[in-house]
Amino acid sequence: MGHSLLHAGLIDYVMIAIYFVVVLGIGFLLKNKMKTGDDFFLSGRSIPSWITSLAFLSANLGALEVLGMAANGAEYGFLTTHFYWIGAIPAMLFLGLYMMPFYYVSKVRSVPEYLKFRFNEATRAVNAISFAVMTVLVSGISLYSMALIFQVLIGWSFNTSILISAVVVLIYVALGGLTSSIYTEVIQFFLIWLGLFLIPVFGLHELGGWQAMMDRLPEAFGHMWSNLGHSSDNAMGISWLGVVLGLGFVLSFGYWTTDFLVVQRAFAARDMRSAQNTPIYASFFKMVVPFLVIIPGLIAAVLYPKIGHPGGPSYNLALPLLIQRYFPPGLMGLGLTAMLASFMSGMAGNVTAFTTIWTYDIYQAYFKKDAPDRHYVRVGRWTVVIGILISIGTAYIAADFPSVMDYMQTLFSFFNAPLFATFLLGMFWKRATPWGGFWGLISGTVGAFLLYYLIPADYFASAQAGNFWRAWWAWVIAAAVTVLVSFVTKPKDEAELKGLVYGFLQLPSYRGERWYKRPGVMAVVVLVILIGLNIVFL
Amino acid sequence: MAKLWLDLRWLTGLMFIVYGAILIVYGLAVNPQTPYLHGLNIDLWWGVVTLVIGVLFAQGPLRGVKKNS
Repeated sequence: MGHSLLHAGLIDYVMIAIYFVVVLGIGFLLKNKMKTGDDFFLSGRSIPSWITSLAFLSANLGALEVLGMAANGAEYGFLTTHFYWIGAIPAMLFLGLYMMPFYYVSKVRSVPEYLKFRFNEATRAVNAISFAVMTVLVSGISLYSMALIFQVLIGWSFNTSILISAVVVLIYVALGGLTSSIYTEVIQFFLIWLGLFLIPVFGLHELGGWQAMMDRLPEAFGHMWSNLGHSSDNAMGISWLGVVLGLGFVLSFGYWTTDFLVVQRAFAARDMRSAQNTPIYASFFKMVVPFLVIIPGLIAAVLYPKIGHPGGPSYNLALPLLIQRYFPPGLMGLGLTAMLASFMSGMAGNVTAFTTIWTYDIYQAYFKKDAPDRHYVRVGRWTVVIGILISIGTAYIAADFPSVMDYMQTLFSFFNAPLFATFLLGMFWKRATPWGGFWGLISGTVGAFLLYYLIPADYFASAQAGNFWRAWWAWVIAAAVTVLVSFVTKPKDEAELKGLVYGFLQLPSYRGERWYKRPGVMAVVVLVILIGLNIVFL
Repeated sequence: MAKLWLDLRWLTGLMFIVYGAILIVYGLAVNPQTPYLHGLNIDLWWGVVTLVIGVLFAQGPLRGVKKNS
């Protein structure tokens, strides 16, 4: 135990305990509703779009987002906002407008299942296995960061924090399936605003406002594009081209459009329009998150000039230091609960995605094909248990990496970047053949591994820049191989591609609906705001 | 009634009402401080905000239930 940063009192523990009661209660409330596989794995496709879109966002607003982005804000300044704006919004809009119709119309239950229909069984197997591996690794990162933070903050031992949070997540996900996970994600979203909103408010007040804060920071901290002319001009070691191609295009599209963790939330929507609106509504909320996580990073950089330097606190403590500075007991409990909630929902999201993929795309596909629905729900519940046990193991793997943020981006560049090439060609080029998709996906992933192991780490200006460029080249390899193999192998019959490929699907028209219900109109609104924000913070 | 307990707005609202009430009581009874606050009873004020948000969440579904019964 020993020394800890915060001194949580009884009142703070009461606040945390209430949250446990709420999430466990939700699990029990939902238990009896989970009758069929569709209920458990897809929430019966019945959730309204405001809920799915908040869950869509919160599944991603996990541990690393909250602490990691505050840390990045303290280290790199406003540049970090690229992860929220160009590095997310265009991809979310694209998913809603152009990709969701294919996912939704084909009634697939998972991302790998789409690959099975569009390409072949082998492509699906590759994706299902690589996704399952990636998810338990990422889930371990959540668990590890949570344990670490609670050890530093309130002095719980590393093993205790891991055990408590794993058990709570286990109970509520096993009982209520995806719905449990989605409900707690939405609650988490509001909780995190209530719990942390006062931090940037107090911080900006103490420093005398935005301009006064900027005056005390290095000049580059306030800009998004002005210092991206060349990779040597900024602390992150990236150029504008790296940001646009690596982050804005490949990594962002790869994550937001194909990562089943987030896409699964849209599958739970009750109709096609809700499914399309899920990521589009979510992008409004996404644009304001930097206020909550990056601005505190900037504030911490002013208030604690030694942060990140030898002898000073680690960047990861940017947010906790501010909680300690501003929050008295009571409010501190709310802030801690908000952080705990975000860790747990990040982990629950990974576990539900893992459970669905394992049950539908691996177990049902290769082990037991025609069991009654009840059987798969039971398998799903056991998979939750196993998934969490593995996550506890991978939490100790994550402990061996110096920076969990870079570790996660590296995983994405291995798996998501090539997958996005497969999807893009699969959905928009009818000539892409089953084996073209398969070999493209394999060679893209292998290519990313090779680039990672063959190119020395110091070749790139920073780990971040390395991830951006590796993702880009993995995408190029996957796309090129898919195209080449497609020209020499046999394409699918056009009849088989119905509803799966652009040109073989009547895209729905929402003419006549009110403007705020129309995906196309809302996407334009988001885009205008996005461009405006980038100009303001140029 | 069972439907009310599956309504996410109701559950979220209830949780925030409880959090708000605890913060208000604690703020009134203790008024805990950090050096930055200069006497501001932030637990009380933020408790009021939390409570109001909780009520806003909870009232919609509650009215729906009353209308139906």
